[in-house]
Amino acid sequence: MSDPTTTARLRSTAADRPGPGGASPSTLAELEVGAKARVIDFRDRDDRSVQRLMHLGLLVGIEIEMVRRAPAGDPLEIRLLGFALSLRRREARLVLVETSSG
Amino acid sequence: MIGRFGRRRRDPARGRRRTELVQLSTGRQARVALIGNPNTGKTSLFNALTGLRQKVANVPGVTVDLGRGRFPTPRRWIDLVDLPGLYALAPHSPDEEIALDFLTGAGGEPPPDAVIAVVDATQLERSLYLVTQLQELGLPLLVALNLFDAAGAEGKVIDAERLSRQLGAAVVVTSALTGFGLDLLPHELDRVLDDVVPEQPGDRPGPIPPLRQAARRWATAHPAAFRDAGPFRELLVERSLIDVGGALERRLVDALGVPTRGDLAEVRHDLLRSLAPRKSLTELEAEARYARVREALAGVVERDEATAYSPAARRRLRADHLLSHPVLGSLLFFLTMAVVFQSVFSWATPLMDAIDAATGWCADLVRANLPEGVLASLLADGVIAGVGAVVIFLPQILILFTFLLLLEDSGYMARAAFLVDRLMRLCGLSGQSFLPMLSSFACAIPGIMATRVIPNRRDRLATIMAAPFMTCSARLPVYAFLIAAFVPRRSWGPVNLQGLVLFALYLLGILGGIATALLLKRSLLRGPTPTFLLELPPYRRPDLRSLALRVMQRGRLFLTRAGTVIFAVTVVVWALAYFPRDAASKLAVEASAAPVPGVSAEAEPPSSRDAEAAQLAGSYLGQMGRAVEPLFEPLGWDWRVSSAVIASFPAREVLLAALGTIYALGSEVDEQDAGLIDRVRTARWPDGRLIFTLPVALGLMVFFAFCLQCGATMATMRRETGSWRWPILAWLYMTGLGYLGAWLVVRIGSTVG
Ligand SMILES: Nc1nc2c(ncn2[C@@H]2O[C@H](COP(=O)(O)OP(=O)(O)OP(=O)(O)O)[C@@H](O)[C@H]2O)c(=O)[nH]1
Repeated sequence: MSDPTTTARLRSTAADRPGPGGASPSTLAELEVGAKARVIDFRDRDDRSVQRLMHLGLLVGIEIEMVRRAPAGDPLEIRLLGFALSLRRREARLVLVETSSG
Repeated sequence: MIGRFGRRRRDPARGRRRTELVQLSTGRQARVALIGNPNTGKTSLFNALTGLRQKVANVPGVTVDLGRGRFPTPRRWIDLVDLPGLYALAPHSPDEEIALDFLTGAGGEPPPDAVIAVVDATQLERSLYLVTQLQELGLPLLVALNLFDAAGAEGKVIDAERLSRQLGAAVVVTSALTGFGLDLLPHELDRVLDDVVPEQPGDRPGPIPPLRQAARRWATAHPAAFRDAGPFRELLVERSLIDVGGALERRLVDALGVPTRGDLAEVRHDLLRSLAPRKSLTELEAEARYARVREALAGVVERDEATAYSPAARRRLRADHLLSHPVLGSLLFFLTMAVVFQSVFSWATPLMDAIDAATGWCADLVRANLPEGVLASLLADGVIAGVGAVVIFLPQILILFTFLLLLEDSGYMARAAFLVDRLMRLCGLSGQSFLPMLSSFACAIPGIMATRVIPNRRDRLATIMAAPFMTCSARLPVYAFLIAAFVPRRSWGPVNLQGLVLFALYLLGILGGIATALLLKRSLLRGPTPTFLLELPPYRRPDLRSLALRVMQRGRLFLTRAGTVIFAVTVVVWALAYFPRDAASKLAVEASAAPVPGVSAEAEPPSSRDAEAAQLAGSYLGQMGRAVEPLFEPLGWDWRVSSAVIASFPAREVLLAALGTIYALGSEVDEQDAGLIDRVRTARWPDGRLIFTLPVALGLMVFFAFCLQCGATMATMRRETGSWRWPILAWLYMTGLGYLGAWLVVRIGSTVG
């Protein structure tokens, strides 16, 4: 259970598209194929999928690479800690990332 | 020397050790569980260690199909159990619950004496996460660094001794594929089992110390929570607190009442307020454990860059790109599936012919050597023919399973699920339903069991209900027979009508399954879209030995079924068709007076066969068939067809054997038997009309496409869903659909034709 006010704030600001100026965080779902990003936050920490992602090592500070999208654009394949994981866009939207510049 | 003797006499513990040793060599045993992440090679390791000393567990009602086998160590026999894979002690699917329950003794068996944690040496960071959780269970633990050869091939050099020291657990290096380290593992296991200071659950500090204290307080305040879990109680409470909305929380709520949910939430909230208000307990646990894992891994892995970018590694990458390519990958996927089905049907034919010849030969042998009468008939017409009619599918089942396991072990199945997830979602399911559905083309039973990997209960139920619609290998001979008998042999170029009808029937099954899943997900099983979190394992060369063992096991299970359920059914059908015996003489008189209905006028003069047919008409089966005849009249079936169909409700493959008996040829028939085909083709109603017109035959096929005629499938559904509600619903629904479909076909057919 995360602090309710924090969760609410994240829900309202983090839209699906990157915000103006790149200051607001984008979600994992929008990451381009081949791009790398770092996890900075989660939208709903009590979501079952988010909990599972955490057990799999997807935590704040971890680097993720978008490997590919399935034919219809969903699900996605990502790489983290040296293994490949598939998840749907719905779940990817719960992970907030910032693209690494280097 | 003297010193050692003296010490031994002085040390009573040593003396005890020695007598213990004697006990050990005279048959002491230990129960050991194999556990680890999916795809770490648990099953391969299990097969490599136990070889042929495996039990095929097929006892309905108990937690089944956990692989069980034994192997010796220098000091004892090990009863080894292969548990389903899981990533964390936070179960997300029924499969993972089974694993956790086994470890904590909640699965109806005491907890194991020791645990072998199978770790993927190429994925140390992720797979050691589970190990840190297992360490807190307090069970003797041996870590098997499996896939060691694969890690070497990737250019990783691992210092196992250092890892063992930094992790605080015994570590043994293994490769289930090459056999490396398998000789050492038994010794290490003995060492772990003989460790003199056994730990208790909770001896080690948890990842979040205040959480452990809160769990302890909560467990003391609620003595009814996990009452039977013994020493694991506090640990399970701790896990329920961490895993929001998980299976353990659900069990607590079930046991202690709904307010428990709010109660747990409050404990969590209080904890987090003082610890880290923005985080969650799962997050704190994961962070603490991954930090711990990184400490344990410090200096353990060295990369040998030259091998890391070896041609082999690059080849794997290229293969991955090709197979997951949106267009090419999809094409290859359909091609693979086509090849699988093609080979199932074409490669099996010679073997099936051989089995058929063998059963015929056996039946002849019995008839030639036994005096005519009840015994000869029971053996030849009942047992041999009936069971033979089923054993004949063995080659197809073996081939299909070989392919399925090959695809799964190589890592392709996960990619296939990835590719078709979107498609499956259109029918309300997910990519994870793909493997169960595909398996159901061999047999719905393994298909239904494979649904255990589906985390979402509604999804799982929908898949279970859709699975029996897939054309299983028992439907195939029924189709093949009816098509050969009634569908004209016509072809246009490479396309032939008979093949087209067969294809249409497969399609019909698939559509039936999709429609059912869709219907259920829109009504009874409505709910939010499920998740699809799936690890995509790297492509690996399958371990052929392990594969062969598992294929053989499937074959054995199938034969067991043929030897029990189907054997019983055939004997019952035979008995119903054979008795009462005096009916024969009674009806034989009628038979000589008037042509027996159903036997064509131009057939050979009344023979022993026709007398047999008359006997059948008066048998219990005949009487039953006549009783239900009105019910099936709208479908165009006479009493013979009706009773054959009824006889095939316990197992649909019985149809041919039953038709054979009923059409007075003895039950020794198969789909190639021109005799039975001719008899069925020329069967007439008493008024001389043909019974089987094309629409009636097609209707019968549609009936079989939809109907749930398989007792074993129903028993499996009951076991997997926990109640008779779902199998009964499925039976009513599918039988109704079959009847409706057959009726529609007959109606439309008679209007058009
Ligand atoms: N190179 C190599 N491959 C292995 C080894 N052990 C297993 N494999 C392969 O890894 C794949 C997965 O092995 P399984 O034994 O099915 O793994 P599992 O842990 O039982 O998987 P689940 O049943 O899904 O939990 C198969 O293709 C095996 O052939 C090993 O030591 N070395």
